[in-house]
Amino acid sequence: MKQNLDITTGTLTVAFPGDVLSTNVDSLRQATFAALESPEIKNSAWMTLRLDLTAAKMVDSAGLNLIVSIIKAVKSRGGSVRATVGNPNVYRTFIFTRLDKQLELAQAA
Amino acid sequence: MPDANQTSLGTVLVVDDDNLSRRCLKVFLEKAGYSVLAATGVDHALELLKKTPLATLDCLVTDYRMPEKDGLWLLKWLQEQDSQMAAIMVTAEGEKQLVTASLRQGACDFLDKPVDARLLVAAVAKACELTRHHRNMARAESDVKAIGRIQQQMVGNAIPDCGLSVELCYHPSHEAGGDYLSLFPLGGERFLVLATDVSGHDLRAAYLSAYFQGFVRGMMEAREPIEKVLAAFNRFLLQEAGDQSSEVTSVAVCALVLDRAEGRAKSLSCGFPMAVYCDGVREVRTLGDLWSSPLGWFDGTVDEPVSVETLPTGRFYLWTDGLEDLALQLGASPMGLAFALLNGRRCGMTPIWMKKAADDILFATVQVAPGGEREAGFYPIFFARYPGSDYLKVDAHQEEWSRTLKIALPELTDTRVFDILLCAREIAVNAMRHGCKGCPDQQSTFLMMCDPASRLIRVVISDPGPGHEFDWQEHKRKTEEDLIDEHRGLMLIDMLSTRFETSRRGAHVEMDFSFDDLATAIAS
Repeated sequence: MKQNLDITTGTLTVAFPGDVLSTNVDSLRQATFAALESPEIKNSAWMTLRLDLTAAKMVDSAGLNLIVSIIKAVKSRGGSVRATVGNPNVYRTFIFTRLDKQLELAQAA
Repeated sequence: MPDANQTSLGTVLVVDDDNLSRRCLKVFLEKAGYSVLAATGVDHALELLKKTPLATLDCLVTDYRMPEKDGLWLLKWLQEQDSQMAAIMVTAEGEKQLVTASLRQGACDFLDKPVDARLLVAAVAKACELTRHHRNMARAESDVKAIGRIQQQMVGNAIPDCGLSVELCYHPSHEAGGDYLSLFPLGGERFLVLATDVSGHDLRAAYLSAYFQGFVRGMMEAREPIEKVLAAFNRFLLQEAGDQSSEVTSVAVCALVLDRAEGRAKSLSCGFPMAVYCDGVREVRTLGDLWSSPLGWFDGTVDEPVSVETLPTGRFYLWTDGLEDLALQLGASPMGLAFALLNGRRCGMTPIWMKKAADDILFATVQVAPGGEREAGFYPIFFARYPGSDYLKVDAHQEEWSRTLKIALPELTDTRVFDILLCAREIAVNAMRHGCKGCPDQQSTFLMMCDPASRLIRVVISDPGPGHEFDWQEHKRKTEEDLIDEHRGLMLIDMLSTRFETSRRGAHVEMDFSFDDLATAIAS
């Protein structure tokens, strides 16, 4: 999983390598929170977290729960979350579970 | 010419423009006991063949170098007209380069000029033998094809119109074989359906299959129980039909006895894939747990039949192992393939993936109720039992569901397949992980069905756990408003399915999906 911190725009980008599912969510959760908790990221002045989900073709409920945990963590520091998805079915998944009310959702062209 | 009392060893066409050479060839061969037709060139030979059909000749001996058309031209012509007839090319010194070209045109031997009488007779004897062998093979092949055609007709005709609704798909991949389905009315509302798969794909298999059908018919008319009939045929195969070779003759068979009045059926499989019963609503049962050996392998009695209570909406499904092999090759469920074959049969089309079938495939459905709407009710397209520990393998299972859906229902859009897979995955993971507590010794059942008439796909997932009470509306509110990190799977299912019902406190889940995309379905 890749992360990139853009100091100029105050945006931290976390890119998921593929699907976010019950079978890989534990390792993704560990990697995401290890990154968010690392001193370099934690002490930086970013306010927006951009989740890059363009490689995901499916996000199941376990994957959605991870995203909810991330939203909560970011909100607790006063930040906001943007998610970019590539697959229209993943986009629908976010809409149907009302997560678009909790983050800024965009579909990649 | 051979002696009048002597039977000719064969008829040889000799073609050579050189008078002396031609005469020598003729004399040598006639002295050896052959009848000879002699031609002075290719055109003369073609003229002679107008009166003497090629099928009456056994061999051609032709010179290469001749005016007008040469020996290679004649070989090519012969190859086109009768590829079974062997030919010998006579070549002069320095014409050895012709060997390859002649072989390509079907020559079986070569002789140098001047021709040695002893070598000529030996080569002609060999060539005549080769021609006869080729012709015998062609005749045998033709016989096998004829038997295959009769067998196909008989498989269809073996289903008498006796009030039992049977649909049959038979896809032979060999000229002849031992796959067969027959139906025996047993009086009243009782029927015996017998599916057979004899080892081998040859005349022997076809013969044994026919013999078996007759054997069963005779014993059933004598009112013997099917277990006794199969045990008797097993003894016959072991004691009487066995030969000295190491080859084992075996008969895989599935016998289904349906008692419509009693609402019961019993099934007995010997080396045959176990029959499957689907109630047409929400339940599938495989009739048997353990594979049993086919008849002809081991001495002893056959297994006890497995009984099942039937509903009028129910159907039985029987298929040969050819379908299971193909399903394995395609990474899909045999039920999904069976459903596609049935649909293909109804609209007169064979699915393209059938080209990959290496074995004959016979598949039949037997409807419990008499007559009625053929397409009505749910047909199974996927059934599996997953141990609790398989929640870690759900990605692989999902792949198999996906391939099966695409084979069984190619008209479904990718979006609708996605919806079904996502919802099925949610419930399956829950059943394996929580209902079965992730334990390898507890099993959940996973069933996908399709009702073509109402254009619905039904997914039924059950686990042996106690389930748990929950207030779905309250959970839904909390999930949306309080951003709790659970129950989103249920939200998805609620949105994506056409019908969603749970029982046993959530340990049994049923979901229906219309064929159409959600947007289309909502709009309509």
